[in-house]
Amino acid sequence: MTDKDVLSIGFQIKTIELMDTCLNAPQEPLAAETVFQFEINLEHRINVEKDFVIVICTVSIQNETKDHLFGKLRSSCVYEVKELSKFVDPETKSVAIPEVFATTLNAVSLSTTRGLMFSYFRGTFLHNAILPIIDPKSFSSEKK
Amino acid sequence: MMNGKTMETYTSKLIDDLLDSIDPIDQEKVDAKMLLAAKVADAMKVKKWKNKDLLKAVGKDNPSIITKWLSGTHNFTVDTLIELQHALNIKLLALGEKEDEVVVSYNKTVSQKVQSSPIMVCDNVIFWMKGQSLPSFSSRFSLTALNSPHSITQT
Repeated sequence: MTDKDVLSIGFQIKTIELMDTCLNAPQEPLAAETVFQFEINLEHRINVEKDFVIVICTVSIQNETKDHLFGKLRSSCVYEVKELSKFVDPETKSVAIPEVFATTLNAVSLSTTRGLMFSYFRGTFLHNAILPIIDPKSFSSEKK
Repeated sequence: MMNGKTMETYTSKLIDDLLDSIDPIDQEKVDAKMLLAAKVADAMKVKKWKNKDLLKAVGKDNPSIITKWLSGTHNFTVDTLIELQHALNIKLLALGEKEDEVVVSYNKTVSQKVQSSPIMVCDNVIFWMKGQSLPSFSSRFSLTALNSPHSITQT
């Protein structure tokens, strides 16, 4: 890796919040082997004025055919990012966070949410529905 | 489509010329007045208020003022807008508000097969005759919790 490739961004996690949860037990007990579908949405809300990036992670756990929602959890992680304004294009006023940094924020938020999920769902029928390890680079993104 | 006839787009050079002659700033002023009137009307509808209710809420005594406000042509003063905001609990002025946050969304679906609960398996089964002492569980039985095999399919 050359010096040019090194990207140094100072950031720290400020708050972790459990925003929303729901649990919807199935009519019949789950089979011994159940396939859970985890639908994950990560939303980055960027506030340049306060140097904050808020990552809202929503995980929906559904059955294999996705016609029954077993549970849902929404969390938010607030990160303070040093000099966030340097990622703002002065001409277009648009914010472009480096992809590698966005991936890092996604990875940290996913892991945090995994822990929150386990804490919330433990002892329920979703006790074993542990959020799988996901390559944070594999998410498809869209700008709203 | 009505009576078997297809709808046609009416074009007129006169209308086009008239529309082109409207100053964009004037158009924006008209749009803003109409929008404010519509917001007030919508808020009244939500609250199920009649004109007299709004009149009372803003402390005015001339009923025609409400009709004027709702006409979409009234040039509201800042004072009136602030009074209406308080009375209707809506936002009509956006002073000092920050621009919308930038939002980037990432999506993914993964599936995982898991065992819904750990299964206990008995390694040894021992029979004993009535009258015999029960063998010690710790030496004869070993219970194993089967961890769920995690086969991950990422889509």
